[in-house]
Amino acid sequence: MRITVEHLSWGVPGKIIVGDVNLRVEPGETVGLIGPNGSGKSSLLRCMAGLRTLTTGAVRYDGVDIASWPARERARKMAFVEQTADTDSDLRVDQVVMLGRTAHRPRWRGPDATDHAIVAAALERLDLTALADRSWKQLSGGERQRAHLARALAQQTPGLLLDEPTNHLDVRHQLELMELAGRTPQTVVVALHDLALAARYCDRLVLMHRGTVAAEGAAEDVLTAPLLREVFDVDAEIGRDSLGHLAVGYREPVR
Amino acid sequence: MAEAAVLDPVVSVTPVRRDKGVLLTVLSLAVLMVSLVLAVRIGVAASWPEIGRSLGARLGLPVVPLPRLLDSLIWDLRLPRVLLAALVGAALAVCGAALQSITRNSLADPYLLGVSSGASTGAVVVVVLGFAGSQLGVTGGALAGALGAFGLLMLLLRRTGLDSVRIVLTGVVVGQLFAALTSLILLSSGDADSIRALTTWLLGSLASARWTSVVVCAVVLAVGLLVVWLCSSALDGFAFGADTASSLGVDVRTTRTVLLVTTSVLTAVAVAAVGAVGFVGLIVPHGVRFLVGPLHRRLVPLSAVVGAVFLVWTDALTRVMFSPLEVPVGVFTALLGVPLFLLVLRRKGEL
Repeated sequence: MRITVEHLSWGVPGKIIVGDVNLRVEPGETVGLIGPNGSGKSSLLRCMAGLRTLTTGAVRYDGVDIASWPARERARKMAFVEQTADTDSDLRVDQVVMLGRTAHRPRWRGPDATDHAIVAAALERLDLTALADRSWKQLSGGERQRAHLARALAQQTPGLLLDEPTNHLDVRHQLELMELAGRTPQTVVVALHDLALAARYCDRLVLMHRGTVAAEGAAEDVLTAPLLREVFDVDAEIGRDSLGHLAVGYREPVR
Repeated sequence: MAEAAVLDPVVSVTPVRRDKGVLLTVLSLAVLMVSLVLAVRIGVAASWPEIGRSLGARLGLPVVPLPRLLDSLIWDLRLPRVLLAALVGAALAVCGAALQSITRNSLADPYLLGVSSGASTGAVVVVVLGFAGSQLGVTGGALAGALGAFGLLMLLLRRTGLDSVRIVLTGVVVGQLFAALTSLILLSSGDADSIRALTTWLLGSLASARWTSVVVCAVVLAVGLLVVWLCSSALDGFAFGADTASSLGVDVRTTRTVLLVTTSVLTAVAVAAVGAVGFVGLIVPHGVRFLVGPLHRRLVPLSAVVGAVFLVWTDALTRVMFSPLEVPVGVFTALLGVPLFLLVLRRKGEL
């Protein structure tokens, strides 16, 4: 599925959060969304997921404007994992993942064998099978994050929007998750803070700054010392680590 | 579509966990039936055969009819009372379950939205104006007041995104307004007798139950229960907040509006019929969650049944405990509910 963002603006009264963003994500592509805190990454993802009424512009899935789509139809095309989505509810892990099947069955019917099989497969994918019966309250932050991802996979959408999915994850699960995001045939847009991780697994990076796109392209072109200085206000050096992956080093900030 | 084959699941190794749910439903319905039958007998000076004869005669069976007084006692007073207890208990519990989900607040109960405060204002106005003689007067006034409060609530919420905190705060504000109005009217023009009568009414009493209330409550409950149950998966989706719910395919605004209207009407009808019986709507859903977990497909219907059983028995107790004096049932729901609930919490190891 191709995601197109055209002249997208969104804000709260008195403040523009995202201003005139244009973006095009090709089918199957994995695009990394990077930028400092408050640069509009999360807001842009919410707009792309169809969760906000845009001030101007449009979000299109395969060329069709989604503004007037019913929630169910949207949810069959696009899954979204929020940065922090917690609950007081005493749901089990498999029940959380089953929430991903909501838009796929009529309201009067409970989950059927297919739903259960899809949930089982999603749990397996995220290494959660052993935790399926575990209560949400007993999960660690990383396990919760993985459960949300499994839920998003169970939604079986051609598109996937992830807001900081590697938060709370240990190194191994960060790598596995990003590999999954890069390998899946889904069109993925993922907001990340770890620039090296973004560079390694994303086909393309989009650098956000003050609600607009500051740079866009291959990791080597976006992660440059001058751009990072301008956007992140850090003194960075870009190099390769001993395995040949792009690495970013930072000097002490000068006060 | 190649893109959709993201997971290619192997069908199917996971057993469908359905047995427990069916068993619980059957069991709880059986308990409800037995409770209804037993409760008819409690606190009435009639034997089983006499009750059977009263019912039989009404159903056109060839039995010897009872003396008019006893027959009326069973058919016109006791039977509607027991049925109304069940209906109101079910309605309040269902409202509590739904509101706890859409406000994401485990302290939410059916009275959160200010509907019951509106009902008291309506009842007080009717009593003060002197129409209290007819029972329909108080009930009608309460219903009008409840719907008035609900109208004000929706008016205040009309242009907002209906987010959880705003619903709760607006409901509290509306409730406070009507509570203040009630006090004002009572203090300025109520005499001691009407104040006492109203205090009893506010705590809830089923003594005035009649067949009209039963029929109205039954119809409203049937529709309301169906609407809430059809929103089950939406209610589940709200667990992680509005954005996640929306991304799961829940039309958040429509669902919230539908559920607010449904629960308000259910509450209004229940409160108008018997007064503001507390505690049922708050505690029963929590208790049922401990039994069957938080998914609303099971939680909603089972809350209805458990709420019904709970209020039927509490009302039966109020009839006999301090007989001939009748304590408002609202007092007993808490007295009986608190220890029961603490027991459940303890069993679950959360206390």
